[in-house]
Amino acid sequence: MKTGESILTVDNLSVSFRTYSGIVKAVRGVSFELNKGETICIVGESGSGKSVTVKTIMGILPPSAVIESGTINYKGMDLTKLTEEEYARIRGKEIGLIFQDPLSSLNPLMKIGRQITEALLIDKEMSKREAREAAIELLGAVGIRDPEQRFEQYPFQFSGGMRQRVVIAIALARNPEVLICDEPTTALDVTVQARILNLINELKQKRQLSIIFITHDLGVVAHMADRVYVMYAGKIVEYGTAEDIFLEPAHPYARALLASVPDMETEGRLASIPGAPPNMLHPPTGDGFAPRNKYAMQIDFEEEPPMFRISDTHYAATWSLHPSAPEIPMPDVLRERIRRMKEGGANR
Amino acid sequence: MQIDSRQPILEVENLRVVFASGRGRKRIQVNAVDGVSFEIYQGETFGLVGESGCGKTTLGRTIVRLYSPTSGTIRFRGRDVSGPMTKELRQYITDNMAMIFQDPVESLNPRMTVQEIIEEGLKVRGIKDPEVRQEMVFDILSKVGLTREHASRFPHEFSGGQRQRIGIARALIVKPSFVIADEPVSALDVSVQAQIINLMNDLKSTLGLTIMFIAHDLSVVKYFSDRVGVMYYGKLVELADSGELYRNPLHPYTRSLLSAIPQPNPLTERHRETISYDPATAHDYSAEKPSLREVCPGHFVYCSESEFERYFDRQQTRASMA
Repeated sequence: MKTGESILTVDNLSVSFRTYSGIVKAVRGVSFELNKGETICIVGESGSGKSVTVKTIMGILPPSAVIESGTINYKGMDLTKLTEEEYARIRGKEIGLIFQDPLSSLNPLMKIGRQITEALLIDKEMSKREAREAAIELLGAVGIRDPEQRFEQYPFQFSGGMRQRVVIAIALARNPEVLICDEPTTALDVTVQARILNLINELKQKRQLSIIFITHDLGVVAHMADRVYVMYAGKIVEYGTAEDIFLEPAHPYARALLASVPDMETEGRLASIPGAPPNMLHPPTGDGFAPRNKYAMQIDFEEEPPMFRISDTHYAATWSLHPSAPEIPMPDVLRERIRRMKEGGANR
Repeated sequence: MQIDSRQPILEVENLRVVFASGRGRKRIQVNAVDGVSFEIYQGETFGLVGESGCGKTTLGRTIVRLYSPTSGTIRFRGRDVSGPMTKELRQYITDNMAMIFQDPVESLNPRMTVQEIIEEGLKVRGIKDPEVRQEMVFDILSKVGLTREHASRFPHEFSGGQRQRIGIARALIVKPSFVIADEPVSALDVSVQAQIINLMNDLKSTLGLTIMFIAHDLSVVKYFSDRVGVMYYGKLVELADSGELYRNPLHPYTRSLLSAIPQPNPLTERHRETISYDPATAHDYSAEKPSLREVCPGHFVYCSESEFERYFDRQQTRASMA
């Protein structure tokens, strides 16, 4: 792990949505840190608040959203306090964003080239000709063949993977330092996904990017992450290096999540998590995962667990780490898999 | 897993499905399924994997005759079901086969209650007594892990996993013997996926189902299926027992597909090498015509004569080393 300086710090962020049925507490006191040159993955299920968190960072929350508390510190600025005008200088230029669906994030009526030069021309520092050259270079950099011809084409003439490359090119056009990837490969086939992930890693090396990567695919997390944050019911329940999370998961949710995914060696019954994630109109008190956790103790339902320190890099918010808590066994499937991983035989 | 009674329930032979649009010089023809042959045995789970656009969904939909085959035959329990659609044939197909769809939101009518959604198939089958239908709906709801109170609610009141349970109940209420599940878990959250897969496994054994499982998530297919077929651009390129296929993939496309699956293991995952596959350079079919050949018992690969020899040799060396 890199012990570099922190480039982006989110502190105690809470975001709610006002809806007809009441207030949805989507993010409830989230804190994390992105260090220079590292990739952090935020893992969680739909509704866990991971997308809302990054939308808050980008300042693109819908009008119904309210930032209840917290700060987002980027280079000494608090992003939650910025005006729209100031934000326009951050978005794209300092922090780039790649969305999940490459089709709906491109304008179908605009040629690919113009969608990239549009970003380049915002700053008014380039002539159109220079922008064109820069855009063609970008297309080449993200691995699109014949960029000069592709420049003149429309999104429908590109395959899903190629469209995602274009989206990455647009995100990188203004040379951001931070890149946020919100499930960038979920809509893609595995072979295409592998290529896009490698491309992101390559660009990260070349351009010294710091990446926030959001996904629910634990295999992708293992491929990308230096550090991992696990989110559940609007809170971060555990974080640590990828090794910490995959080899020594502590929070019952992190364990259950890892155990429920079949890998190539899985046989017998899958360890499914009973029930469904909580409705954030009525956020749970105590540990949000307690109703689905068969080892839950009385205190899990009553009081919110603090972050317990496991090691210098590894923290988890679960009462089971309290010194007077009983020992909770790791699920069998997971214990077995971790043993295999440590022996190095989990993969071919 | 060995299936004792190797009795084919479904036989697909040289099936082709062609979609065409335009006419004259503008005519475009897409060979969505291009000469596919395979059998599915009684009581097994047959997995079908491939990338989007490879024809796996078209193949599934053609088997239940949502699409008509361009040529080739489909036999179900020995009966040809690929011929012209008659009232009697439709009845036969719907009595025996059912389908579970990918998207649990889109595939349920938002204006119908769960009861109405599930019992529709019974109505079509002429079960007129509403009380009988109600009892059957309650019965199937409890089988898929829902309660009778759920019957009067609407789809939007349910979570994704529960909606998929409704979709499963709707498919199973007509007591089919063969179910095609087209990406039944890909729209669900990871923790809910496991619930649905376990449910399908339970139902398979209690109801004696044969399942064709179409998916792109190879870890799930490996876990859930007895045998797996790999499709690429309308062709079945490899077919084997799931353990054998994952241990010993022969076709270069299968190898590239397997190498691309991210595994939840940071120790090995960061250094994973992916194999890329380019059909133009991987095969030379100018001299020899490729076909689906059996390299070792139960393991079929789409290859030419010389490739077959290569695969066969590799297979032999593997076998001698083991």
